[in-house]
Formats: sequence, structure tokens, C-alpha cells
Amino acid sequence: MEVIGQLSILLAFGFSIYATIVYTVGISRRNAALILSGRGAAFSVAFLVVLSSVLLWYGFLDGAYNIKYVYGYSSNDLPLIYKLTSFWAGNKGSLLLWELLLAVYTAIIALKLRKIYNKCIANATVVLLIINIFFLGLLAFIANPFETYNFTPPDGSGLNPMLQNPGMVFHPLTLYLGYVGVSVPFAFAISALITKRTDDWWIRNTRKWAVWAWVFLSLGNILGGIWAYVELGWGGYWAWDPVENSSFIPWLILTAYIHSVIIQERKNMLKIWNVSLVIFAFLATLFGTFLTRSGVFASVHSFSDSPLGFYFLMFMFLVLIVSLGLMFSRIGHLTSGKEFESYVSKESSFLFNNLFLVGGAFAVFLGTVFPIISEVLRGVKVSVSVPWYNQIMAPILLGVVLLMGICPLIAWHKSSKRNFKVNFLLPIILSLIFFGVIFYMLKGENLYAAIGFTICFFAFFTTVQEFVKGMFARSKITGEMPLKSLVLMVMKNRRRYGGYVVHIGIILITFGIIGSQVFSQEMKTRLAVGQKAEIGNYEILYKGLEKNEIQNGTAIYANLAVFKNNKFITTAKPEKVFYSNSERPFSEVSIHSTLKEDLYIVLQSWLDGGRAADLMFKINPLVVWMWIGSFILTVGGLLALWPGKGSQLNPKMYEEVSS
Amino acid sequence: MNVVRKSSLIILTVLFLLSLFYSVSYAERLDMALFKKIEANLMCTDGCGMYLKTCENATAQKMRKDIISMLTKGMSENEIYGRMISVYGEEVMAAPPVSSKFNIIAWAGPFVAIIIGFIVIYLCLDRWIFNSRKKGAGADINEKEIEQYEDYLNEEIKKHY
Repeated sequence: MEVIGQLSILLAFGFSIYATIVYTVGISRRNAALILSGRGAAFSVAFLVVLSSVLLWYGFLDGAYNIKYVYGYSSNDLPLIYKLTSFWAGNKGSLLLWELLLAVYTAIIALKLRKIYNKCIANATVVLLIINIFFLGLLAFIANPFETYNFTPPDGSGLNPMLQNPGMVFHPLTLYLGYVGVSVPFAFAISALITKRTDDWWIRNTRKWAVWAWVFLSLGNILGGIWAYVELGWGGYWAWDPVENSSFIPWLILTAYIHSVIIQERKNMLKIWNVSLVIFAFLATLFGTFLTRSGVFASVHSFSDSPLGFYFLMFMFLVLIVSLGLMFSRIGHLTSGKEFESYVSKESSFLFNNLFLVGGAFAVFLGTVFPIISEVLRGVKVSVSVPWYNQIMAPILLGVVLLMGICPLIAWHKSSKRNFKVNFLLPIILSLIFFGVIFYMLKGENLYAAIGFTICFFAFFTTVQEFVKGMFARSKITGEMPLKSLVLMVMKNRRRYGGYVVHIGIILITFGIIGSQVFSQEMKTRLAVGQKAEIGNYEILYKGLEKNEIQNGTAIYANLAVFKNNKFITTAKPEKVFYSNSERPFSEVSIHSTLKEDLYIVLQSWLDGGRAADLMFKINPLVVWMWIGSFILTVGGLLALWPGKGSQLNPKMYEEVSS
Repeated sequence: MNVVRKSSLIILTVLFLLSLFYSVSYAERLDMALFKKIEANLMCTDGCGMYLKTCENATAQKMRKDIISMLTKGMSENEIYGRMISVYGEEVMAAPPVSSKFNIIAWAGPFVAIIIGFIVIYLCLDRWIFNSRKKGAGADINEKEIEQYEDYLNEEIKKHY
């Protein structure tokens, strides 16, 4: 099995080189036979990588511990679901997962050449194949997941207990679906530069890919946050860890790109900017992979045993130099329209949204690399952690949310004074009233939180207003029932309203972030059996320590009766789990969630066989709104992604490129 | 002899109770809000990469004890940061301290970049609007007509978008 797996990777590497060569020659000689041969080779690459992946999965299910990777990340007592997800628990498997997705994406793009010889798509396939060569080269010669022992151990060393969580099933997978998805718009942008087809064909061809990548990057980040919240036991969801940052940077850049392409589609402007955004989004995905494998930063995500950082760094430099070199060599073809009707228009609000998003990406990047810059230039190590990011990113986030609120109120092309007055008056008055009420409720304290909530309210109101106005306008014209009008309006304009649904999701996430960051309460205390702790309106009675045998270990939990306003509401059971493959215990937190707040309890340690326990209690207000917002964001993304009539920007005819 | 022993025992007990009372009263006097603020501004120093507030390892526990000890000695927030930096270096601060001019780059950099971006956008918009007006200079159309057309245009856009 391991021989076939290894051979598949080697063959895939060979086929990807072959495909790249024949595609390139075929394109330059306009030879359809060669291009079709390259297409076949691209399919072979996908088939072989799928085969090797299936074999590795089979190795995990079968307990093939003679494979070093399987031995390192699995064990006999590991639950089945985690045996499957152990595939991407380590460095080599995660690289194979990346390559698996990339090979499948490449085959899907190559499939487009079935009916028509299309130079642009052929070149995009070549770019994707070159990326395949890099990853397959690493898998074949540097990080072979099928490396074996010359004996078969009876059991594996097991999976890191922190990775035994449903969040870890989906977090890496969704993140990689997003990361790798960025490769496709990047390949098409490079193809556009090579072929000098710098109009919006490549944007139209890859819009869905960009949204696809964005949706999965969003999901990956969100699921990572949920995992941190329920698994790491420190009561937070985002620690501004360098690797978290590296998945956030491409998300920010891709968000900017998804907005700025609308300007190119509508006005044939910002060509250089859009190409640059795609190049840097792709580089940012490589940067994330470099960080996890370089050992440059301490992180919960690091693969410390990896020598791959150097190769990723070299590849990043190569991509940077070639892409930017190509872009500057085509600068004459990237000249675009240079006309805006007004300073105040939807188009200009998109420019400012790009400013904040790219500014945010730059800030996160600066924060991530600043410790290295300081050490290199000053010889002094510094840390850049949560307090810095919170202070820098909070105004940027609020700026983005404010623009989300302003944008629907402004007309395309130009907003007249009348338009301005009519559209802004009601939201501004209501927001001012809201600010007064919330500031009063906060007893005149926390001005920043009051401003933040008001901005969220303003953006929420104007976005919902768009739906309501559109619904009644349509209902008036068509005579349909308002609800039917709403559904049909959304379905016929999925790109637009999908975007607005995403905005609502982001606003709710921001609402949750402000609440949980500003108003959280924390208490660490030691309770003897029968003693109560008080935090906020909660009283928690410690009833003792109990034990629960699980499949691959033992869970010790504190039995806690939780009262709110003197009324029993639930029993909480925060755990310390002793896994059979680990010397130290791991926390499983207890969370009692309501729309208002989460009561978050961690069992830290105990004394005298459980007669007393050290517990951490946190009240995290509004956290659940982040998860609700995340769900809405995903629904909005999928709505915008859904194919068919209504997913286009406008009725402009799609232009099939052929030459 | 027994009297001496008994007296010693009583004195020791009283001293113990006094010290207990003293420490309890100090603990009560300890400004927990300040402690939490300081904790949230420092990093754990054992290379785990976590900031102190979220770290539970032995190094983090020791650092917390050190902070409490310094607070009970009556040291101010800045004095505690200064002491921590003198022991562990600037790395102990969870955000680059602005005492170093170089670190101001980290604090000001993002906002300077955004301001520069804002100016660039403004200049570009200025140029693009000038181009647009120059192109449309011959058109004889008043504000009212523009608004009518704009409403019409927006309705059309809404229908299709």
C-alpha cells in the first residue's frame, strides 16, 4: 500500500511536469493535440493524488503503523472520526491535503478545455500545474507521508488530544479549501497577464472561485475560533497567534478583491489593483503555510519537526518576483478607465472599503513580522500580541462596518444632495437615539463600546432597510405579497443580496466581539464541596468531583449546580481529560450559552481527591451572536455563490474567450 | 518551664494569627483590577508564545506570584512593567513598549499607511472626476434633470442587479 502511495505521488509529480511542458508547447504552437495531452496528464495528476490520499486514509483506518505518519498521529483506541481526520493532523498529511485539493481544482479548470481551445484557460492551467509541481516535489522528496519503518509497531503514538475535537474535523479542511481556492483566481490573473487579456474575462471566470475561497476561508477562521473557545480553555476565541493571522490576512485581501472587482466589471477600472490583490492574496496563503512550517514563530499551529519553511520562503519569493515582474511588463495593457462621476458614490465607498481592508491586512502582517524586524534591526526581541492587535484592529473593524452601513445609502455614479438627505436622515436620527439609549444603559461608561454598538446598529438598520425597500418596491410593481416579493427579489439578485446577508453576518459578529471583549468578567477561585461561587447573576455550587471513562482515556469532571437569580438553571461539568497517549491532562470546558451571555467554566485543578477544586468562571457577553453571525455569513456567501440566473452582477453578456 | 512553654505557644499563635490577618488584609487591599490589567499586558516568558492572561503553565503562575508580590510591596503599574522588562527584556510586554522610538513604527505604521492610502484615493478620485467632467463639459444639463435621470438610472439598475 505504502509503495503504491509513494509511487502515485512520484508519478503525479512526473505527470505534472509533463503536463506543464506539453501545455506550454501546445499553447505556443497552437497545437490542440498537445494541449489535450496535457489535459489528460492534468487529470492523471488528480487521479494519482486522489489515489495516494485514499491509500493514506486506508492506512489510518487499517492501523498501518509501519507508515511513520500513521504511527505518529493515530492509535488503536482513537475514535473512527479522528482516525479519518488524523490525515491532516501533521505536516506531511496537511501538505497532501493541500495538494489533493489543488490537483482536483486543476482538473476542474482543465475540464473547461473540453470543447474549446482557450489560450487563457490553458495558461491558467499551466500556472496551476506549476504550483502542483512545487507541492508534489515536496511530497515526493522532502515530506513523504508514506515513509515507513522496517517493522510494524503494534499501536500508534496517538493523536494530540487537543486535535480530538469536532472543530478540528472541519477547521483545517475548510481553511485549506479556501487557501487552495485562492490559487485559481491567481492562476487566471497570471494567465490574463501572459495573454494580455486584461479586461474583466478573468474576473468573470473566477468570481465564483474567489467567493468559494472566501466562504471557506471565513468558515475556516470561524471554526478555528470555535475550536479555540471550546478546547483551549482560556475563554477566548481569537489569540492573534501568528498562524491565525496568516489565515486572516488572505481573508482580508480576498474580501477587498471581491469588492474591488465590481469596479472593474462596471467601469473597467482598477485593473492593476485587482491583479495586485489576487497576487498578494495568493502570497498570503503561502505565507501562512510558511509560518506553520518554518519554526519562526511559536504557535499552537506549528509543525515543529518541519524543514519545509525554507522551500516555502523560496517559492514565495519566486512567485512574488515572477508575478510582479509580469504585471509591470504588462503595465501598458493594464491601463484602465479613469472616470468617476463624484466623490460620493457607491464606487468611491468601495475604494474606501478596500483601503480599510487592505490597511487591516497590512496591520496584521506588520504585527506578525514586527518581532522579526525588531530583532534583525535593533537586536531586541519584542512581542506583539492581543493588546496591540485589539487597539489597532478595533478602529479598522469599525471603519469597515461603518462603510457597510453607508454603502447601501449611496447611489451608483453620483449621490445628489437630495439623495443624501433622503437616505441618511432616518438612519442617522435613529442611530443617535440608539447611542443615547445605549450610553445611558452603560451608565455613561464605555464610550467606545457605545460607539461600536451604534455603528453596528446603523449598519444593520441600513442593510435591513435595503431588503425592506426593495421588497415593497417590487411588491408595488408586481402586486405580489411582500414576503413572496422578498424571496423572489433575493433569488433574482443573489449576488447583491447574498452580499448584504454576508454584511449582516459581519455586523452580528462585530456586535459579539464588542460585547465579549469589553464586558467579560472573570473569576478564579477555589471551592470546597458544598461551597458556592458568585459571578454576575450566577451562583455556582460545587458538589464534588466525578469520573467518567471514555474510549481513549478518563475524564474527571467537577459536578456544579448553576443558579441564576437564585433559580437552578443547569448542571455544569467542566472536565480534565486524561488521554491514554498523553502525560498531561486536557481541559474540556463547560459552556452555558444564552443570547445574552455565555457562562464559561474551566476545571483547573483539585486538592484532597476532589474535596476542593480550582475553577475559572467567565461571563462572556454576546458570544453566541458571533456564531449566529457566522452562520448568516456562510448562508450569504453560499447564496452569492449559487449558480444560475441571478448570480451575475448585471445582464451584461458573458463573453466566452477564444482565440 | 511549663508556663514558659505555654506562653511561647500563645505568643506564637497570636503572631501566626496576626500574620494571617495581615496577609488577608493585604490580599483584600490588592487591587485585582490592576493585577488583571498588568496580567493582560504581559507575555508568558517560557517561549509558549501565549500572553500571560491566557497561559496556565508553571512560568505563568510564577509570574503572577511575582506581580502580586510587587503589587503588595506598593509598586506602581509602570514600576512593575519596568521591573519585568529589566528581568525578561522588552519581549515580556504583550505590545511593543513605546519607550523605544523604533516601536512607534508598530503603533503608527498601520494608521500612517491608511492615511497615505486615503490621500492617494482622494487624489485619484480628484483626477478621475476631473476627467469625467472634462469629457462631459459640452453637455447642457441642469441639476434637476440630473436628479431625474439619476432616479431613473437607479431604478433601472435595481431591476437588473
